[in-house]
Amino acid sequence: MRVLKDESFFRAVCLKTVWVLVLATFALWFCIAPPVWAECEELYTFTGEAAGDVFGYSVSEAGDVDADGYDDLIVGAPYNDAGGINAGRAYVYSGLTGDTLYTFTGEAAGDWFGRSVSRAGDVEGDGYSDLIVGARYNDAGGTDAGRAYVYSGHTGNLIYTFTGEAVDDHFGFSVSGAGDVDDDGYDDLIVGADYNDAGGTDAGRAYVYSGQTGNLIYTFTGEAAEDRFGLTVSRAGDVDGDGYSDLIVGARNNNAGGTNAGRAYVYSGQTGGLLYTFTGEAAGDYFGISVSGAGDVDGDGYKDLVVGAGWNDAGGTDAGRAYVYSGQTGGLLYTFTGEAAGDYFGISVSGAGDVDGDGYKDLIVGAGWNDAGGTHAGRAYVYSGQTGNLSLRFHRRG
Amino acid sequence: MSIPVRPETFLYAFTGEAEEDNFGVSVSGAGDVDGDGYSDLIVGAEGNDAGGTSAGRAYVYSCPGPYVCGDVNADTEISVSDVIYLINYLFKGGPPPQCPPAPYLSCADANGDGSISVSDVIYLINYLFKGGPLPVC
Repeated sequence: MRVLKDESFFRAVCLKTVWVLVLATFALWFCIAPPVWAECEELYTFTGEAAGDVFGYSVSEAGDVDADGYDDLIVGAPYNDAGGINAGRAYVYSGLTGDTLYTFTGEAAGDWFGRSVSRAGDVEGDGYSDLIVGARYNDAGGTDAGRAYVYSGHTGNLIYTFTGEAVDDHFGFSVSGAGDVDDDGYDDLIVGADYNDAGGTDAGRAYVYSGQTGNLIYTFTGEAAEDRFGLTVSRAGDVDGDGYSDLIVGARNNNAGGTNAGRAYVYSGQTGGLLYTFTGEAAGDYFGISVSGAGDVDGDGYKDLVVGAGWNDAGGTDAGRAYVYSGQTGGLLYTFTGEAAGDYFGISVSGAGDVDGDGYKDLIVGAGWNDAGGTHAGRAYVYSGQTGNLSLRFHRRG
Repeated sequence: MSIPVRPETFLYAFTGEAEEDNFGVSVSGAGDVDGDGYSDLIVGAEGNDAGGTSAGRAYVYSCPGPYVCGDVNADTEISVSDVIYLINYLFKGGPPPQCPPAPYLSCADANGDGSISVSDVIYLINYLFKGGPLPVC
């Protein structure tokens, strides 16, 4: 009995020790638990050719330019000097290899070719994705009338040249593939001329061209002088579900919501009619400094929209903001706000496609003056379309 | 370049390399560049100096695909085998969580506190056997 009692006493002490050890181990694990990190892989880094090129001033998906099954990329360097001082250049890179597929060069010094670049979609109907590049200061249509160039993805040859209407129009300040606006099976194009004077001095204008013929399909004009309508243009996707691709145009200096509150306009591809007008929250927000189709963010079958307001003050003076709107209703789905004053969050926005594979399109927003990596090092953020915030806990380890 | 800032509000944040890079001055979806089935991203940094002062740079990113939160061993379901797998990883030097594509660990953060620990084991057990809440990675 005594022996047994001793044994049970010993067992109890032993168990206690084990428990203390286990708890200590657990406590230790709480303290030194490994952080959960998931990184996006940096696939490629492309670097400007020479000092002062400002390569990366514009970037865009290019679509599958070489029809190898992998999407390609286009980057603009408007101050490149290969074609003359600040003639500018645009570079097309293979998604599969990272190699340069094409280099397009501005016609003349000071053209700023590559100020804007975009996937053009399949303009030729040959199964290769084509490209569009703007040169806002080109002088072919008069001093700074501007120009836009459409290149074949298959051959790299120039398909179309569109030229600004008048001196100082800055046509080509913005360019974008428009999607198939007229449902003829060929993708169409949109070009902005934010200093065009048709609607008043610098009211601005945007032009939609047929990919099949190069003919003008629509002209949209700014509401009032100084609106700078057409400073930004983008394909919107099929916003209203009628089977035609729609369009979005920004006018960052529009005064409807206060001086320079800014505005963005969504147009029907089928009719050219205005579907929605979105207005900046407050004076000086410059809402519309960036616009983009967002893809179907909320999974309702209609393409949605994203607009940036880089000077919005909700997160601090000029912290900036971005807004996501439902294509089906025009209602506000999400608002994303810059981290700190002076970040200019929303200076760039874009649909990102389905980054996290949850079946909903995601979004990317740039804050070029964020200081997290050093003064004005800048930052870019990816948001879940499904939830507007974190659905999967990912960070990028620096 | 670490990113502890308000991670709850975004999926990913990418940060510029150096002062005055203006990384993020341009952004775009990139399509599926690497053919992994998920969309990639491109970001411009017009002021980057790698190629000379303000030569500029552009960065292309591919991010990991979806996973089932709590499916630590990547067999497409949450079961007791995930609990065993996680214990093995935490305390016995076993292989890391197989959140696709490896070596991303997020799927093991069952309680969503930003780290992997025994509390995630307890959370999973609670979910599987005691009717506790779903994993919330």
